[in-house]
Amino acid sequence: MTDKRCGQWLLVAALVVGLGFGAPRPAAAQQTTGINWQGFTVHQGVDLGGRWSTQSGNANNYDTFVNLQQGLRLFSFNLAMNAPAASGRLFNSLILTGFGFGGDPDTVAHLAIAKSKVYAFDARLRRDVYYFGWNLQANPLNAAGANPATMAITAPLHQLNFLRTMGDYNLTLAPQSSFQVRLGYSHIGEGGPSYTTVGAAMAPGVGEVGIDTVLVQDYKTSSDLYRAGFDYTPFARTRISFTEVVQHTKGDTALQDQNYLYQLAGGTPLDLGVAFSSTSPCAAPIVSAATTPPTANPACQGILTYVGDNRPRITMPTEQLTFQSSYFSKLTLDGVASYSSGKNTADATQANWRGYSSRLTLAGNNDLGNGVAKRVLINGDLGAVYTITEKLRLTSDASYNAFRLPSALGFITSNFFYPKTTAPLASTIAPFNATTCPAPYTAATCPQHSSSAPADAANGTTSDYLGQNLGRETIQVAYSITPRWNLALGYRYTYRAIYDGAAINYAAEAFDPGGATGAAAAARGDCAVPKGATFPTLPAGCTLQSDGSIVFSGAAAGSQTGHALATLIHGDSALVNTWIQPANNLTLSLAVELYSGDNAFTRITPRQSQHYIGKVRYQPADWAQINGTVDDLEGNNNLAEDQFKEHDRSFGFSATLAPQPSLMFDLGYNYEDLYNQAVVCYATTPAPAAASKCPIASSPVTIGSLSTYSAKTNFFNADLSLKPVSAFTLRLGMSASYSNGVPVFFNLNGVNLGNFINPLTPFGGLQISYQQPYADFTYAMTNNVAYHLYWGRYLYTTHGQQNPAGLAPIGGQNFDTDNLALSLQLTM
Amino acid sequence: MSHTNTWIRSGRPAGRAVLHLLAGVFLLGAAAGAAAQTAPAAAPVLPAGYVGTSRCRDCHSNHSHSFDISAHADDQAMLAAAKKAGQPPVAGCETCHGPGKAHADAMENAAGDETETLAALKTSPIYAFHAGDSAEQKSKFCLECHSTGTEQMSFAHSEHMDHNVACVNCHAVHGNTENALSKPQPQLCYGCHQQQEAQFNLPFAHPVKQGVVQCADCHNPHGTLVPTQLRSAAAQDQVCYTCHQDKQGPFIYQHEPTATEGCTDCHTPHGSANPDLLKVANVNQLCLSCHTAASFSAAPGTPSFHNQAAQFQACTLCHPQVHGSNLDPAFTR
Repeated sequence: MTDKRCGQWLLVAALVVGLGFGAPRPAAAQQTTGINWQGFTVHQGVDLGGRWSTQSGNANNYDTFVNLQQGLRLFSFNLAMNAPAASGRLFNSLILTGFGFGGDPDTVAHLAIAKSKVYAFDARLRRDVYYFGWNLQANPLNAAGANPATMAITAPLHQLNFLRTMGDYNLTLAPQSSFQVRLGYSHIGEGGPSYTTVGAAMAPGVGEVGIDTVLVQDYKTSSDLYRAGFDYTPFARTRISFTEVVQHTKGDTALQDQNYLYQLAGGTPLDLGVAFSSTSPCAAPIVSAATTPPTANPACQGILTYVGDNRPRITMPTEQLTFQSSYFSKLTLDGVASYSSGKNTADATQANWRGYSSRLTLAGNNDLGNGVAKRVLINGDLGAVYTITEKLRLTSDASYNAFRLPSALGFITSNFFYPKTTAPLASTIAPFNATTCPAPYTAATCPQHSSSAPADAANGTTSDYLGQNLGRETIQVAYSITPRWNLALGYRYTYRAIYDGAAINYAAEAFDPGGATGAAAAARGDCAVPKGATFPTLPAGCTLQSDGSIVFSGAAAGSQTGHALATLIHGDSALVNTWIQPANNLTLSLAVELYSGDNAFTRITPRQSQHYIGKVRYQPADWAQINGTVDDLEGNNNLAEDQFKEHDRSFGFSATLAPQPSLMFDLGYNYEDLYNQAVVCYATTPAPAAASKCPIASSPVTIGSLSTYSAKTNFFNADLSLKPVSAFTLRLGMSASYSNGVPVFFNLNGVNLGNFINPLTPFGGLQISYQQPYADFTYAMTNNVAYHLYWGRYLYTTHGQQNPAGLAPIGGQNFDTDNLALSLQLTM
Repeated sequence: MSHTNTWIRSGRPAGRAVLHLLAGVFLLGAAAGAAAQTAPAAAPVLPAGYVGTSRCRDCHSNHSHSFDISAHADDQAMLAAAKKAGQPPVAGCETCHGPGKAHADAMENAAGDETETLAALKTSPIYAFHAGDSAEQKSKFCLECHSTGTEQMSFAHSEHMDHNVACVNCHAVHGNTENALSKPQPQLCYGCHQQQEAQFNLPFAHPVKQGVVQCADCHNPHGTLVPTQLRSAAAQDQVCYTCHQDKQGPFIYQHEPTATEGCTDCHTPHGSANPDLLKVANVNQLCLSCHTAASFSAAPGTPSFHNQAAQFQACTLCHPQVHGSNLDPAFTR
């Protein structure tokens, strides 16, 4: 803060404090009974002031977690108008509240206004500044010895600085009549400047080639949702509702490379990416550090330009029918049936880059796609409660949900290659040309194709399909053993069928010759010479052209001709729900679900799980309330090649004690133990000395280990509220989280391979303490005027290794910030 | 790249909309106020056994002020609701507490005598929502009217009902707070759900503590037909898409588990010490958990050139579009 701003703040503070403490002592606290105005009982209040903030440490992390900045604020306001006995003409009740105006990251305003039988209107406006600046996300963790050695990535590569605005408006007409109409509109807008990363030298079916860079992402997406419907009550205790919802979502996101920290001789801006090692982007990337910016080696990998564009348009109409009836005294029914269809038209989605990738000898790539994805969803739920006797009741919840997601993309892809004559980045692209690259296609002027280079040009279509049928039926019998003990036993059956399929069909996929192997260089990819054969023997669908190129048409290898049943899952659950009330002030409850399935879609979805939740509510005195919870979720997949296990065990309690109106104490504590494990197989070079072999024979990689993640978190909060005299209110409190997480990789015989696959990975958020003490003081000058002083501290501390030996230092994650807020509260 | 938080200041703030709201409220108030002095309607004829709210107030004046400005004091609405529920046309205290004539007469006859008062309470009781009553008993009166709303329609078989949580455990029905809640969210929910309070206080968390998102935005505390009382997004999809509509798709290339398993396969929904609310700290550990070429799983294993010891440590460095892509089946763009 500058001296000038500091002075302004002091002046404001002195004025406010001086006014407050120089005023007469209040006769009572600021609780008001409201005023009568034009027949309404009116309560209103406003809290105006400012916040002063000191920051030290990692500002990106502070803004990610807290983001409270300094400045003048309208902290909150409220207005409530109620007409006694519903006597208002235009409205009987009106509530308007809001908080966070003037620059806080979270701003909310809410208006609810209603007139009995005529209408009810509700509007909620929310504005959320979503900032994400955690620099360990997608950080390539460059080693200290990389060349250039200073390429520590300290900035967040996936930085988001989004503004999300949300507005929800609902109007109900004739809310008390047997036929009421509902209208609604919601809007969500999200966007802002951000960064993302890309493995730039991509081509369909090829994979990464080693130039990872950061892109500026102008992100913009918005969704408009229109609702209209009615509720009809044909007879007592029965309602039928219909709602039509139309959702329209559009995205307008553009990507561009602006990470030009280097240049080529001659001044052409160059991006060497963000991942640096002894071999990437090349062994000696800088030829002159004396220039500004440094001059790079033209034989190195790099990116000259990158642009991308993604503008989907999605329309999703949904029809929903709901009903509820308790017309029959012993039977209650409720249900939902809905049909939703959606279509995403993603035209002219594109990504284009120029540069050089050595592994594929690629000089650039243009990808253009026009796609359509559809989504059809049918949902039906039916719940029934049948009261057999006063003590016995039967409940049934049936649910069916099925969706289909077919999609197709028409694509045109061009890949570019350099001649051998000059260093790649200093050269111009060399499209295949029989004049400059005559047979046998080995001239230095030919485009240089490696054996793994992608096709020079391709066009075709891809088609994908995903579908799921989900059925679930829950039956539960509840019995009141005594008026104070209820026991319910139940069974749940779950059925899931998942269908999956994908295909690529090439109208033409052209492989041009050129390179060390001359004419044979064209025989690659889908037209690679079959094993045991010699060029020019080619796979089916490939045709050798007169100019030496090979053209493939047809379905790519591995394409499916239709969607197939991928996974079928049957699951059974036993349920127990019970509560007991041994005394009026004590209630205990227990919920148990024991699940067993015969299959799973992913490796980390449990086939068996057990979930236990126990709760106790105890009120030892009118002024004391104590609650406690024990929650244990256990899951596993008992497969030798998977060995997936997880648990989430927690217990906690809260207590609210208010022995006197002037004294209240809140206390809470929770302990949570999170754990999961799975066998993972991966490539790693050099492999850890004790690394074991991947137990899955078909795995494309050979190293396998048991990966575990364990995190134990202690949380407590305490809040003491004191009112020693009627004019003063003091609150002191603190909340704190202490988390201790550790990922460990064991070889399959149990030998500890270390904390991480990559030993350069910092602990980051694994082992942290996050403490937030605060003090809150209110001085009520009169019944209607109070001064409010708030101090809060945000202390985030990481433990364990943050800059491991060998990592180019990326700085600390900690921050320590004090916030002071001073405000004037006016109420009546 | 620099830390440029000021970028966002050019966004359209909600403040402008709020100013419009305030102006509208002012005009409405002015118009409404001038007409607020309407003559009271003639008192309806009460069914036998009922005495009317005014007689209740003779003794129970402590509830008068807050009740008079509560939604339940709206006689027209209460009568309409009673009609829809097939209940006697009574508005006021007796709508929920039952007919009070016997009770009022007996108490009046007791004339303050302690012994007779106790006897009167026993012989002529009204329903008073005693602590020892079950949630089913206590909620029965509320549900007569409220079960016909879309919000409460599944309460009879909700998880709260299963565990003896009644309407009055969360609602102060004589008050005029928003939705008659006895405490604002999330403090009200934290009373029983300590684990969730702890999670929302972790560094990476949904802005529930800040008040932007409320528990009831994602969960319907009155029950739904799916586990954990979750709501659905407008298109009957996962509730997460209510705000995160950009992750909803449908995408040309959908990352299958986002549609079949749901967001919680990878994310913890309330809060986490890990960025992006991920279940583990290291992104690769999460990706590899599925992308290991298991014999039963459709997820492909990672190729041999994804060296975990050097580059490609972070899968999302090259595959940032992990929810789905409109151009690339490998989710790179």
